[in-house]
Amino acid sequence: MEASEYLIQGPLSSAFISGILDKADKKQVGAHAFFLGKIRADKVSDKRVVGIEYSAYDNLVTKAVQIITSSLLRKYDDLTDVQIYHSKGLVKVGEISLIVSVSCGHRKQAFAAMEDCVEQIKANLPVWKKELYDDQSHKWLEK
Amino acid sequence: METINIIYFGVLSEICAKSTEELDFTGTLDELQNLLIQKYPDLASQHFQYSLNQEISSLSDSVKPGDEVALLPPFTGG
Repeated sequence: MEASEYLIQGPLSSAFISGILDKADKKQVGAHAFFLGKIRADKVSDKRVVGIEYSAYDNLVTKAVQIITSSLLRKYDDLTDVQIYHSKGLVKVGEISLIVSVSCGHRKQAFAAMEDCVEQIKANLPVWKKELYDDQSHKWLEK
Repeated sequence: METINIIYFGVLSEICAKSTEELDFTGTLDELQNLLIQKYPDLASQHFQYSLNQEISSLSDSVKPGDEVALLPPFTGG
């Protein structure tokens, strides 16, 4: 299986985020919105979440990201760029597993396109979460 | 190529105790599903969809040698 350019092994770093900002258009973008998905230390019965192990279908992730991106660019006329990156493998509590960046001329469509994008990722990206607990047990999440 | 390549994702890889396998099979996804449930009875209680050669597919679609079939539980990314 070919690795997807939108999947990054392990947590997403702050250097990775600033790299996205550095590459963004400097002239036409007036509103740049970021969404960072992080791992919560949820309590499940008497256990504590310590991390999430992500698995993904690389080829389908690539297709899904391209479909989401092009549908957003068609829908929002002020939107000029969408960047989506998701972790694969182990991401520990407090670390970042999803980065979405949208670039618009103005703030209104940046907020709307961001929410739309994250909802589409949740529904359509072929990625699966295995929650890891502090007693060494685990559970595949179903939603 | 004589066989089809099956990929199991998420909880299904745990239920089948493998993430890929090759099978001699020709028929519809519906027929494949019956075969897989015989092989792995715990699949029967699971919710999942199929992709065929990396396109989301329906049970009436036909599978032929060389095809890649993936079993996809509900997505839980983010």
